[in-house]
Amino acid sequence: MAESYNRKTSLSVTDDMIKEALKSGLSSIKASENLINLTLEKCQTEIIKDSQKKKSKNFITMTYKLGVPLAAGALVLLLIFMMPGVYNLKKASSAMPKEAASAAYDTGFDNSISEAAPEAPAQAPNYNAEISITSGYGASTYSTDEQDAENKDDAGPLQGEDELFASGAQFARESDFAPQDANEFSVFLGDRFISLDDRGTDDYLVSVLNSVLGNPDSESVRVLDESSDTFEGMTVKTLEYDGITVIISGMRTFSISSMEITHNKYSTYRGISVGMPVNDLKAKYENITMALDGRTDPDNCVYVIEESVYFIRFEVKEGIITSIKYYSEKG
Amino acid sequence: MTPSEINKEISRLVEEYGNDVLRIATVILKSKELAEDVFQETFLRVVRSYSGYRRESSEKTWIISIAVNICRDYMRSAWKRRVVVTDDFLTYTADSDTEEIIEKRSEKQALINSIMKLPDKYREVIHLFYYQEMGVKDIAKVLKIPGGTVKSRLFKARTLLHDMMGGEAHG
Repeated sequence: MAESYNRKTSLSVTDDMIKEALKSGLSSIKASENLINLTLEKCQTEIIKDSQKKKSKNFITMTYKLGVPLAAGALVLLLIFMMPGVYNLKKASSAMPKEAASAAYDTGFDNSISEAAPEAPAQAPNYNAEISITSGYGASTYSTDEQDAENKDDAGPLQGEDELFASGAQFARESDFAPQDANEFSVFLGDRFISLDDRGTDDYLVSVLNSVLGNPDSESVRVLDESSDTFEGMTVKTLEYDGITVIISGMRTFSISSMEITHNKYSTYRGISVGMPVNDLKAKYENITMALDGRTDPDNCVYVIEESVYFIRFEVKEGIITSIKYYSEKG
Repeated sequence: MTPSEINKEISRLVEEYGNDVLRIATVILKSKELAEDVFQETFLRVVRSYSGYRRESSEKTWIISIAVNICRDYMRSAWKRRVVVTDDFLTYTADSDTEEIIEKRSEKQALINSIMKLPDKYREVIHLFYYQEMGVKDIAKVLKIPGGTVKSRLFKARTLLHDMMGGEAHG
C-alpha cells in the first residue's frame, strides 16, 4: 500500500526514509519503569473499585432475577387458584408485584392488556396492578384497577394513555428495545427524560426523541462506509434540537450514543443544568473529577463523571457550566 | 473475569502497547510530560471500558484510538493551545540518540524535524501509517474519518514533507 503512494508521486522522500526516520527517532521513547509501575498501580486501584461496585450491582441484579420469576410464578398460581372467577377478581390480584405485571406487559402487549398473555383464556384477567413503564421518555403508568375492570371491555385498548407508549411497546418486540429507568445518564426536560443507550428502531427512537424534545431543527444522516471496517453499514443520525444535539446510531437496532446540552431547560439526573455555578455541580456530584487535559484552573476546565464506558463531561468557563455532554465509548 | 485476571491482562496490554501509546502521544502532543499523562489516562480508560470492549477491532486499534481521543482532548484544552511545546519533543529524542541516528543524523534528523513540523492532522496520520504500520481502514477507525480522507492526508503529508525537505536540502 505504501508503495502505491510512492508511485503516484515521484517524491524524493520515500516511504522507507520516513519509516526509518520515525523508527530511529522514536525508538528511544520508552515508558520508564516508574511510569509503568505508577500506571499499573492506578489501574489496580481502579479494578478494585470497579469490582466492589460490581459486587453491589450483582446483588441487585440477583434480587431482580430471582424476584421476577418468583413474581411470575406467584401470578400463575394466583390465576390457577382464582379461575374461573378470575374476571371478577377484586382483591387478590391487587397485590401482584410490579415486576410480574411488567413481565406480562412485555411478553405480548398489543394495545390491550387482555391480549398480553397468549396462554390466557380468550378474555384475560384484569390485573389490579400498576404497570409502570419508565423507558426513556418519562415515567408513565397504566392503571387497570378494579374500577376499570368493571367499566371497560375486557379486550378493549388502554384508555387515556399516550399512543406512543403502545406503539413503543410494539416496536420493543421488533427491535429488542430495552426500557430503561431514569439513571445517571438520563437528560431531563421537566419530568420527561431520555437516556444514553436508549434502544429501539430508528423510527421509534426518533419518535421518542421528538415526543420529548419537539421537532428537530436539523437532521443529518451518515452511513459509515467500508473504511469503518466492522462498523460498515452503520447509520449515524445527528438530530439537533433547541439546546440539545442527539446522536443515534445502529443498523437494525439503534441506540442513543451521544447527547450534548447547551440550554438550561435540560438537566441531569441530579438536577444540574447549563448556566449553573461549578459549586452546585460539585455539591451534587461529590466525587466528580477534573478531566486530565492539562487545565488546572477549577473554574475553567472540564469535569467528568464516568461509569464503565459511559461519560458525562461538564465544560466549565469562568466558574459556570457552559455545556454538558453525555457519550458512550464502546469499543 | 476476576480482578486478578483483569489485572494480569492490563499488565500485558501495558507491556505490549505501552510504548506505542507513549510514542503516538509524543508525536501528537510534542511533549514528554503530556505524553506520560496520556499514557496513564489511556490505560485507566482501558480498565474502565475493558468489560465493554467488544473485540470488533484489534486491541492495538482500540488502545491507540483511546490514546488519540485523549490527545485530542488535550489539544482542545485552552491550556494546551497557549503552550508552545515543539522543542520539547526534539530535546526528548536527542537525549537518547542511538548510534544509527548519529551516523545519518543530518538526513534523519531533518526528516523527523519536518514530520514534527507538519500540521497535527498530517502528523498523526503519518505516524499511524508509517510507524504503527496500520492500514487505511484502521487509521480511519482510529481517527474517525473516512478512508478516502486518510489517503488524501497521507498524500498531502508526503507532498509537504517533500517540499520541506527539498527546501532544506537545496537551501
